[in-house]
Amino acid sequence: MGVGKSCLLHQFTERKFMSDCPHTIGVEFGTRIIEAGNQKIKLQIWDTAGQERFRAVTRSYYRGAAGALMVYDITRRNTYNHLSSWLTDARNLTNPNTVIFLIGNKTDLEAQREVTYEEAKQFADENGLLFMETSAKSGEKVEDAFVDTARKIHQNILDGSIEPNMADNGVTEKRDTLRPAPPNPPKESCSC
Amino acid sequence: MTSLDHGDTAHNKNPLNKKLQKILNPKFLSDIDTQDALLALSDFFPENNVRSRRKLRSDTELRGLRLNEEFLASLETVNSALEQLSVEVKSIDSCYKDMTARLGETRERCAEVLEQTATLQKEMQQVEKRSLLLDAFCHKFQLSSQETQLLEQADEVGPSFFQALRKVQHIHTDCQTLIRSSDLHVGLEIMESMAGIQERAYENLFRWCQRTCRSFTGEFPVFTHELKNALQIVSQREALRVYVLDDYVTTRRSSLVRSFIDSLTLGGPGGNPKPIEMHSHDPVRYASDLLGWLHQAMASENELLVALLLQDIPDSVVSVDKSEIPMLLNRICEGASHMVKVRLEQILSNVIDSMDLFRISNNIRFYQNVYHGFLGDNSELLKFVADMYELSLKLFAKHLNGHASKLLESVSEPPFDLEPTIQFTESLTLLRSILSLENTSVAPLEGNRPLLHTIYESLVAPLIEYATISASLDSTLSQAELLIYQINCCDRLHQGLALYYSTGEETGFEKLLVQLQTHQDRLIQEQASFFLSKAKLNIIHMHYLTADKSYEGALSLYSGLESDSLLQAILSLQQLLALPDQHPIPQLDCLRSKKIRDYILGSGMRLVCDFYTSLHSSISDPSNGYGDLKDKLHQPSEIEHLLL
Ligand SMILES: Nc1nc2c(ncn2[C@@H]2O[C@H](COP(=O)(O)OP(=O)(O)OP(=O)(O)O)[C@@H](O)[C@H]2O)c(=O)[nH]1
Ligand SMILES: [Mg+2]
Repeated sequence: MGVGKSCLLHQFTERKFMSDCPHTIGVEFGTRIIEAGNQKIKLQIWDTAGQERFRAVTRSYYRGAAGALMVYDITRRNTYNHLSSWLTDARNLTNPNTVIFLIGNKTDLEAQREVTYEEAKQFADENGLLFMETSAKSGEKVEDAFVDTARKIHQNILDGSIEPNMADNGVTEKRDTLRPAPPNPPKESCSC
Repeated sequence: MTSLDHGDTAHNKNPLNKKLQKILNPKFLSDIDTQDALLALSDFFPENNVRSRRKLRSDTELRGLRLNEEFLASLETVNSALEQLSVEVKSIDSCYKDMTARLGETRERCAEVLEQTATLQKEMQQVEKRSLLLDAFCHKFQLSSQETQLLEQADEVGPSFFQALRKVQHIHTDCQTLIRSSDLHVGLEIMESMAGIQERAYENLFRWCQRTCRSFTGEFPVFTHELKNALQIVSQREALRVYVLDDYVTTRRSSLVRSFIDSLTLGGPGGNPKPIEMHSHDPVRYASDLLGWLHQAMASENELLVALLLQDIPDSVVSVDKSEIPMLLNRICEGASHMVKVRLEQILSNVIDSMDLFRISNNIRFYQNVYHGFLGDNSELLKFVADMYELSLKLFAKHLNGHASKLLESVSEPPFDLEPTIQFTESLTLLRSILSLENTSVAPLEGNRPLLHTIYESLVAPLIEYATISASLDSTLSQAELLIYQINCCDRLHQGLALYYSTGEETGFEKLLVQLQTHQDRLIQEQASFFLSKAKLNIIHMHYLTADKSYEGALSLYSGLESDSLLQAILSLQQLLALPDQHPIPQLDCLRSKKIRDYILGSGMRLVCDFYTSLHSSISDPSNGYGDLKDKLHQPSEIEHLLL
């Protein structure tokens, strides 16, 4: 069973929960435009398959990512235990400024929780990841997870640590004739 | 005083009283004239003495005289003034008469002027009315010079441009009404001029669209409302739309090629992530990166096309043709996909490892589906991917064929244990890993007829052939041993393949199943004959079968089926029944699969039982003349119980 990446994306783009979502084959793709400040930011989100057999394919999708959401299932410890291997991939296959956000999903199943918030938070802190717990089912914090990732990427651009328009960093400056400031469309990948 | 008042009323008629009254109450004291006179008198009568009283009279007269003289003199002045006035009045009179005459004249002339004025005023009103009309007409049927300039020369296109253009179109349509209702000539003239302006405006707008589209060289261009609007308008001229979209496509195509080259050779900032070319030594990864890159680019470009052509289009005038997008997308990706193609071809022809080749082939197939979702049928790009897939299959088949011919060049005899040979098992491992790769790949084998067919033709069929050739190499093997060896081989093959030929499609795999069944059927026969000969029933069986076909008399009279022969055979059968480990063919243990072993033995014994049942009923039949032989026999049900 998946940790809920496709459900998170679906919840974010359609604001609906898919109760029986099939395993993702390879990669899927979703977009949404969000507003931050008075800028429109278009998010291009790649939903990769979590099953091991697709890893050879999904690895190619880190390349263009400005941010990555790494998801585990708080009700299954083994999904949490796998994180470090996914993190290695994420680190090796992206550029150093890629924002990596750790997501513990399925908070609606509190009774079956196997990974505490504190433990995961500590892991995130140690590895320099942003962290949040969500529920694709209730929608709790789903919006925040994606929007915060986008904000962080945006912040990095303002700070100058990401330079838009470089190849393969997933961020491109676009000049809007109406607005002089550059909104930034990050690409994001989900993994785990 | 009171007493006086009393006295007044009391002594009114007393004359003296009257006199007294007069003296005490002189009237003149209250008379104003008298007072005035007294006042005047006081000027020249300062002292009341005799002399002055005598002189008073002459003084008064003298004064009167002087006064009169003065009066006279004054009147004379008045008179002379009056005379002068009279002269002047006379002159005024003449003036007046003069004026009256002139006025008369003027009045006559004035009448004429007034008449003219009235006429002029009337004309003026008409002219004003016309001028208003003309203004309205011009406003409705003419553009301001500003507007004309905007339409024909503007470098930038904004809301005012579209407003002016709309006006041109309105004028044009209004002219049609104009022609119908009044002035044909003017209407046509205006229409012509509007058509001219519109044409030049379109031309200008078209150039602007072209310029704008050519500027979209970045990864994520933004389309303004104006551009979408302009494109809609330009699209009314099919040819112009084609040109603009051509420019868009060309710009995007080279932008894509540029960023592809960057990804290939530069990678991310500071070379992180690494450039794709860095992985060219790892063919599977390299191919996957290339194909994945194209997928991402395609998805982004698709989004852009949708935004440009479909999303929130203002007052859409041109019906949108959705099939246009895949076509444009295909052309945009052309350049980059060509680069992918060249590299893929190179990788494919250099891959050494069959498994790697197979992995790449599977990836290509996966992306064939993915791209198809964006491009639909019949796109050039998909044709190239299909070509690549075909090439990969062909090369894969070549690998397998190479392997198979090597296998068939050095066939060895069946080993002692009748298990598959080492070469056979090695090839089997290859086959297994190919098939189990299904778990690590993205394109399911199931239903992939060409691939399954390739695998059958290039690997499975040669392995079956190998088993047959191998078996024929050792002439010392019994029929049963040959069969067991071949069943062992085919079963091993079958184990790995079962998943893939259950789909009902003709891939060749079903032939394996037929082969396996044929071998098994023959072995069952072998097993039955083995048992019967052990029980010494084989001769009887042979005679019985022949007699059953052609003999009509009592069976006990048939040579070979006499009571004695039967009795003997049945006794040895009964002995054999007690020794179950002697029932199977000894080499049957060499059958790897217990399931097949049980099946062969069971089915063989079933044949034996069937024969026994039929023999038993023949013996029990009195017309066959076996007498009470039947009493010495086991019931068929007992035999079945013991054998099955
Ligand atoms: N209760 C609960 N169930 C969830 C939640 N999110 C996902 N699920 C369920 O978990 C299952 C897997 O969800 P997916 O979104 O398909 O998981 P995935 O990570 O995309 O899986 P792969 O595509 O195979 O990598 C589905 O049956 C969902 O209904 C959640 O927040 N709460
Ligand atoms: Mg999924």
